[in-house]
Amino acid sequence: MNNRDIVTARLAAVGISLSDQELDHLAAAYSRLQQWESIVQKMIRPETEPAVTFHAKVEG
Amino acid sequence: MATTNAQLAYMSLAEVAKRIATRELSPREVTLATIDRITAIEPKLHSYYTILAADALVAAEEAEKQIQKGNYKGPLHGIPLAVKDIYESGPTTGGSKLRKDYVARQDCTSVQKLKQAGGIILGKLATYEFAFGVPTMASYFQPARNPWNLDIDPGGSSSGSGAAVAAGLAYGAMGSDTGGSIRWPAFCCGIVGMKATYGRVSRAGVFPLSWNLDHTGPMTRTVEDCALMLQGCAGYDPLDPASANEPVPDFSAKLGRDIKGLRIGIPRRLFMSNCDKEILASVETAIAQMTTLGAVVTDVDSITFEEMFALIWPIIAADAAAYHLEDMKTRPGDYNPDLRMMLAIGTLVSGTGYLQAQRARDQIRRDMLRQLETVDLFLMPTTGFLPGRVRSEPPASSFLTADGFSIYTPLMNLTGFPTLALPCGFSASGLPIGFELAGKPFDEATVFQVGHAYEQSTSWHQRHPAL
Repeated sequence: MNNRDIVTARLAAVGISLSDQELDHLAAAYSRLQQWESIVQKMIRPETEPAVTFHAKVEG
Repeated sequence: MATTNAQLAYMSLAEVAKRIATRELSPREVTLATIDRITAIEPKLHSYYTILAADALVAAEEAEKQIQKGNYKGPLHGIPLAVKDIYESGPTTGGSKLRKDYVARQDCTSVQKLKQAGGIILGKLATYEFAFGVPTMASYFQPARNPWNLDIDPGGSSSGSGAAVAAGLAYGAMGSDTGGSIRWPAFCCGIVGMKATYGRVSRAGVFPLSWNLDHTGPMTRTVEDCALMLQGCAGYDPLDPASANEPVPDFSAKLGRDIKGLRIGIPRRLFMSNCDKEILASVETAIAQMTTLGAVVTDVDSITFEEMFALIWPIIAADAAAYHLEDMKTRPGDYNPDLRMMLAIGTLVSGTGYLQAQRARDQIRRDMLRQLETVDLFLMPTTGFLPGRVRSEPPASSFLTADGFSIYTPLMNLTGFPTLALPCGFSASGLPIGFELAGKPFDEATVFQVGHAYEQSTSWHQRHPAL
């Protein structure tokens, strides 16, 4: 599948439909997202946890 | 000596407050003068979506009565302020056709606090659509203009807040900042903006863009004004899950103290590769001024611009897409094209991509907290580019995929550190240039101290657009 097909399928899976021109633009954006993921992947140290980790606490 | 309308309009919030406290000025007089100025200038500035003139005058008369009885509440009492139109209070459009008729049932926490402090809310200010989508002349809501050049973008997403404060149409305004939306319009409009520590100012009742990156804070014409306005809106709010239960200090306590020996770190790796030379020159002059004032300036390591960009935008886009998912399914055409594209991009962010970004983010925050053991603040340009013309139609590509958007503000959204944007010069084309100072979590007072020392040693804050 090329990026355009992937983008069309992913949007359809969440119920979003857009114009052909917009889908073309999104295909380019999807490439950019993948590049960004590679950049971020190289930054991470193995011991790092995501910022979404929270601490349980007793209420009341 | 009689004060002209322009002199009154460009007086600092602190100075107007002193004159209200001594009854040399009345809240009604100041509010009426501001409303008159809004009426005259708004047709070309477009900074307000809704002007609440009648309500503001009623509030001003009440403020006057209370002050005359001796019930003076403090520096915000009787001061005309305004809020970005994503803060729930009366008509609240979010700059979007989707909310064009929405009226909030009650004021959000920040507006309640400002009113409790005696502030007079003049109206709701222009914003990028839902604090994200760049407006154009073809958008449902007209974009605000830059008071320094009405053809130029005032920055965003707190575009109306930046424009109105710079133009003397409010003595302070509330903005929001997820990737730079207080600090970039502060840069573009030549004013001061504080993205307070994450959790310092309530986000309850403010339309979210990215729950874990949204910050709220004041925008004013001087550093002292910013400290006074932050005093009026900061504090724990149980309605905001991210609200920090931290004591609120006197943010003005360190104003006027010298900055000898304070250590300032410059993360050059972040901005040297793509900062406009004119902006860089102004910021280097500001750095030299800090040294003259006695600060100890050193270079510090940092992530690169590319690394910062790669990790913040997927987080923002994915969060925004989650918030807007139902409307994107049922009424995508009601979004402006720019925002529609960015929300669609957000749905393409993978789960692992999002979590890896949050891992990298926590790493950066911890690394920079360790750096704050050897420096007291960071200083960097706010952005590396000057604003362009207000667009007549949507851009061919989203700024997420286009090059040239060299904005350095997102780093401090990732860390949550308090960050103050303030002016440090003008470009050859007459547009403001600025830098930002970031400090330790919950130490806004030191950030204000350094910003104030710099400001008072220069005259940038005394220049105002000719409108």
